[in-house]
Amino acid sequence: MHIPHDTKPVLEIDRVDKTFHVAGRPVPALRDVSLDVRPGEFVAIVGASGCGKSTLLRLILGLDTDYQGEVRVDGRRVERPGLDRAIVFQEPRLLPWLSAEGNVAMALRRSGLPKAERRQLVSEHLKLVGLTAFADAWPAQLSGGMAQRVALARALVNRPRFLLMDEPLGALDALTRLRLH
Amino acid sequence: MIARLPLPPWRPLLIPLVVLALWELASRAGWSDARFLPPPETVLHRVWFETTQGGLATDLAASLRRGASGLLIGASAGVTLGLLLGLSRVAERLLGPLFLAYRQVALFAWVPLLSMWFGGAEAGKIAFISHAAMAPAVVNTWRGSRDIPRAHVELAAVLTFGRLDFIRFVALPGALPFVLVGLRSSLIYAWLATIGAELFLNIAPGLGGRLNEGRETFQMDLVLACIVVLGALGVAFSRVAAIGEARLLRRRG
Amino acid sequence: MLGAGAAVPVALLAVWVLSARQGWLTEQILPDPREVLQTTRDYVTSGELLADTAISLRRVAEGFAAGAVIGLVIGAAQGLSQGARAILELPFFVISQVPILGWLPLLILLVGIDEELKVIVIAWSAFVPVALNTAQGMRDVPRTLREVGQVLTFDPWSMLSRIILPAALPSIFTGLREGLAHSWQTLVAVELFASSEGLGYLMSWGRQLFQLDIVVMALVVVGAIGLVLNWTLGRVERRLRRWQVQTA
Repeated sequence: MHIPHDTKPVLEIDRVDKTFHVAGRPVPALRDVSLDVRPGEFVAIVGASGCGKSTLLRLILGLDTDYQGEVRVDGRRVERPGLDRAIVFQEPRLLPWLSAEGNVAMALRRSGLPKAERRQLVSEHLKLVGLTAFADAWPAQLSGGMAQRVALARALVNRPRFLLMDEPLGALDALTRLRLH
Repeated sequence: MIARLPLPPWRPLLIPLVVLALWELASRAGWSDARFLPPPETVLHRVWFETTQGGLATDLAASLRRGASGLLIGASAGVTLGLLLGLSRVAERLLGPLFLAYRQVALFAWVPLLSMWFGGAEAGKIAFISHAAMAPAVVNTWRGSRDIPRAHVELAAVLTFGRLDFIRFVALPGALPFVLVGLRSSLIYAWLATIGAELFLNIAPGLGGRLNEGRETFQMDLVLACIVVLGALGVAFSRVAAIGEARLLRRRG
Repeated sequence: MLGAGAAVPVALLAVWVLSARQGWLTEQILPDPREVLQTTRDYVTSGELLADTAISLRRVAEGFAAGAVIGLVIGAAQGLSQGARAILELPFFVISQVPILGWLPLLILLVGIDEELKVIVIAWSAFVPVALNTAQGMRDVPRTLREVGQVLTFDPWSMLSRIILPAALPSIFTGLREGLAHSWQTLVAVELFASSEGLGYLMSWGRQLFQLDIVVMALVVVGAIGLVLNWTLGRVERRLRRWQVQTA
């Protein structure tokens, strides 16, 4: 899809600097990073392990607000997490005491949608990742790849504007990838 | 989130200082009856007096001696039994359920029986204390020696270790963290049993007996003084136990 | 499993019966088991055993409930708030170093030997493990799970009820089990020392009369109740932790 260059960016990363302090020593993670993302774009950040990819994602998410520079969505500063930005972490991070279905439903807790609609969304998204048969399974019973698919369903169920993925690696096969909207 | 700032170091002292201040104030202002709540200085003075002249040192020594004997006997018996249960499936199946059932009986329920068997003899008190120390040692050693990793067992077989060598070089070191946890508990229970037994059977010399004396003669300052000593001892025990544990576990690498 | 485990107790029981019959045992060491049975029958029919048991159970219930609730609150405070933890940790630690029974004489002087005393002491013995385990459980909730809550924009209440509490539940339950066990232990001790009714008192009374059959009877009941309490909580705990798929 061709995106004209004069379209306003929906996500702006503006000269971001982030330094960690480990055992009293400063460890720079991001230095003067700038990036614009336009609607419909698919951006892949490639780099050696430990180069700051996850850190950047956390800043975009709003999980971390201690940095120089600005991260803006629609021109407004990102101050805290929001349902418009969803993430699939490196580990599935499913709540172990909830079933697969429960985990996906948990993401809709703050959506304000009526129960029936929530149930509909949950089953749609479980179907999307091909795990309808495992809706009642506990995370401990799922393989790593399956758990990651549940995490993906959980990330998508709020129909976020931005989907961030932190090295989900081989957890997604090509077929599943094709099924994404 | 933001990096954690170091916490102000005065916070742990907040409650103790406030309590102490209120206590002092209550005594000075006459809000409290001096018989029920003697001022802090009186208590401290009593601690000092008793330790230097009043024979508290003797009582303390007696309690400690009793407790130590009981702990030693109980803990060694406990670790031995624990190893037996952990290493021998047969022993576990035969004795395991019995031990677990016997463990359900509340500790102090044995006091009347033991006091009938031993009368007022020191042996009876030590038996009780050993009893208290034994159970946690058994349970933890049992758990620790039960699931020795297959790899270690096979290694021992390859090196043609006999039973004793196996216990010494594989089982015991492997179970050590668990054993230490058990011993910590043993210490706590042995001490609880010591003071408890002294309280109930009004044994002298001993800290428990002193506590009783304070209660019977309505000497609140003596009672509080004993509690202060008990608290200090407890803290000391914890520190010693923690250091011992750290040393022993560090050597394991 | 039950077969092998019952072998030794049954054997011991047989030895006991035999020794009594052969006259090897004097009354002072162990009473004749038949006497114990007879005494039990008497006490059951007269209703005394039931009454004493009921009193003991009531005390434990009240004490444990009080101690557990306070323990949960204080433990939660310590687990959730760094500030609360800093303030509470040291005093809590020092006070809990004094053996529970060491507080007894002080409490007796302050509140006498009525019901309040027993409930207070029992509550305290439940409070310590509940608070400790609750604090630990809440503190140990993995940051990874907390972040899931943050990303899903959970408010503090949702965070607590949907993530922190469920994650801390196993630890909380361990604390409750320990607290109940401690409560029972303390109850027996207190009833032995400062009571005129209840199972502990029954035991102490039997001892005073040199009637070991009463003592043994009470002992068995005490053990049985301890067992039931432990087992019940264990069942509840297992049910709550279905999601932890155990490996064989």
